[in-house]
Amino acid sequence: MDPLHAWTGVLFGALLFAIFLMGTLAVFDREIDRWAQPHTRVAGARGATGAPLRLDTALPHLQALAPEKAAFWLIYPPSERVPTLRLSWPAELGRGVRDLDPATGAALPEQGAPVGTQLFYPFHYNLHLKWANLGEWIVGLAAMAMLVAIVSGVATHRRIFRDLLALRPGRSLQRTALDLHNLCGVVALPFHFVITLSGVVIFIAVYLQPAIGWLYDGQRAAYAKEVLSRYSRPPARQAATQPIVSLDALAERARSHWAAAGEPGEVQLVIVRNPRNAEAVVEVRRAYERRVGLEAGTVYFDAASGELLHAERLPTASRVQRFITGLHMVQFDHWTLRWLYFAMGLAGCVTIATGSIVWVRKRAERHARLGLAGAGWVEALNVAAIAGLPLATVGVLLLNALPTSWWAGNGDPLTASMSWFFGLWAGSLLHAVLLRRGGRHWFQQCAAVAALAAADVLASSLGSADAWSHPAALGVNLALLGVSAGAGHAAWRLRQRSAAGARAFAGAAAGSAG
Amino acid sequence: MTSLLWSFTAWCAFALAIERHHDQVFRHAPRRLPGRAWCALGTAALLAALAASVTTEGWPLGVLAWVGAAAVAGCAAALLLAWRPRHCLQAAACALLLGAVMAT
Amino acid sequence: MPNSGNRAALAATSRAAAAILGGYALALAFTAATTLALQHGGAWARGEAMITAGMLAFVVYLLAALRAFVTPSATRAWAEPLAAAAALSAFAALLAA
Repeated sequence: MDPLHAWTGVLFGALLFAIFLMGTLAVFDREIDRWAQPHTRVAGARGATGAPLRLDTALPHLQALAPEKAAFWLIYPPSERVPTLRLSWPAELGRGVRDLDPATGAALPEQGAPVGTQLFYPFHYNLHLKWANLGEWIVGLAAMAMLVAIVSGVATHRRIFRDLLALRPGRSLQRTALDLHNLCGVVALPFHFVITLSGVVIFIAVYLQPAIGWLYDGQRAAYAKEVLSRYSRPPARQAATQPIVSLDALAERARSHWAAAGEPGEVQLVIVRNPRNAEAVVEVRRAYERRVGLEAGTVYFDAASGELLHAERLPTASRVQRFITGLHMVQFDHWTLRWLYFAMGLAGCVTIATGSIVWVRKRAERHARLGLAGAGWVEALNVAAIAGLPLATVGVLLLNALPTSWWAGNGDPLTASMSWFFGLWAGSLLHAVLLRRGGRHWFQQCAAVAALAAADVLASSLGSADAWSHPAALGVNLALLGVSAGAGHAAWRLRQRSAAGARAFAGAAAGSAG
Repeated sequence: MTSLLWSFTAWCAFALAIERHHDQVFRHAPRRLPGRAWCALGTAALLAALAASVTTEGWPLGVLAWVGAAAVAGCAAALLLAWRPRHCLQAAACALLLGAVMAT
Repeated sequence: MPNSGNRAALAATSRAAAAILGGYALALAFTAATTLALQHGGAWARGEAMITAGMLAFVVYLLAALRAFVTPSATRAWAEPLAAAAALSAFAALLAA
């Protein structure tokens, strides 16, 4: 079991660290969006202005902005975490997004990109590799590897409870890292296991596609209808002749429907499918509030006539799957629990990172003794994975805090952010490979993370007036300060250690020469 | 909050059942009966923390909050033992009392 | 001994492949067989049976993957999940007919 745990970690460690880090960030994805897009930090969330919400103000904007063939329009009424009226539609790369002021219905000027919800979060589950769902498959494989690593890790460590709370900070890096690995791995063990397994369960329809295809004779619509209680109809040949019925009226009818069914709630999302078509459908989804299970109670209306077409009624087994999905995706309103998820996610990142560091260091020492060079390359990969990814993250955040024209040219800021993100990460890999002899790469990249994170806070403070008063921006800024402090401390310790190491090496060399 | 504090007490109690940590705090290894007693106290505190959490938050959210609180408390206990092992007993007792106060 | 080192590495890789691919085949077969068994045997609706079988299938996959590393030989690591998958597939095909 021991080599199994080690090799699972070696092969999948970098990928799992990326998935865990992005997932942890995704817990606060909407807050990161608020930080990166100051224009969305409007007051006047639901109920603040007192006036009833007008969803219909979204329609003319969508008519103008969304492409002709758009398969759907998304309208998000204001909520606590996203206080604007947010519009979205399918675009070439991901989604087009526009925010409206909920009080006036006017489009807000755009600054920055929604990197939290559109960059970090999707990266977490599909690595931005959309072709044939390749990214989702890779993440799924990594998740199974994580489960194997967890089980084998527990099986390996026979004295697991004896050593659990032992943290010996003063000793060697290896000892401390291993202690941290055990501690973070075990105190949050239920979380790590459940989060990983639930993540896989979310994508049952993708991962078990061959079986589903066989059982349903390839009829995906039947699967969606039976398992998810979804309703869909193919678009008609002709375009819509009548305008879409008032969305506000439909929202009101949906609310009364939910109240009558004993599950009252507010509207979270309105989807218009095939909007310019005669067979357009309006879907109204309910907010989750304190429910763990991701059941939106979707109600489907005909867009032209407002006729009720279908209301979601999930079979029990599906409700279990929705509950497990909800456990993973944390869409419920509970700030304390959200912070706890974030903390445990960080524990997961620490577990994976320390595991990789311990293993690579051991190998590097062995290779140094045997005169082999391979470990240097692997360590470089490790640096790029563990320091490079945070570096790319704080780097892309910095860009979003700066005026968009400086770094995005005329293009869409989200696309530019993605290019910069992957570019910085690739740069980190190149840097690590070039510096693979000597170990300066760890120090330099940690120092860079510290500097960029501090720059993020500075840019945010200068770029917007409410960087320290708006709760979301405040939270992100404080977190960035924490990152900067942590990375700075790590860089300082690395500097100390390498200075001590250099002295010891010089001493040993002098000793052996004499 | 109560859940968090009582979880912390629980972890400290478990720690005291472990030789190495008992040694850190009391400067001698535990004998068999006190060792089991610490374990029992730890389990009781952990279950009490679960009860507190579920009473405040309801079933699914309560359990989730408890798992998270236990994880954070475990880390805190480990950090305390690493740097200030002698204060472990006082900290655990304080957490127990504070948790009880907050529960009422 | 470099030679035995290579052989050990080959065996380990083979087991890993068996875990990943054999385990996956088993998960798929399990899903199909369990869904049909619940439908025909337990009179469950197709959708409910499907999603239940699907959720369980991942636990089965995990167990199969772990098993592949403790079998007596690398050949067994392949043989076990593939045989089980074949048996379940045959069972599923029978139920579907």
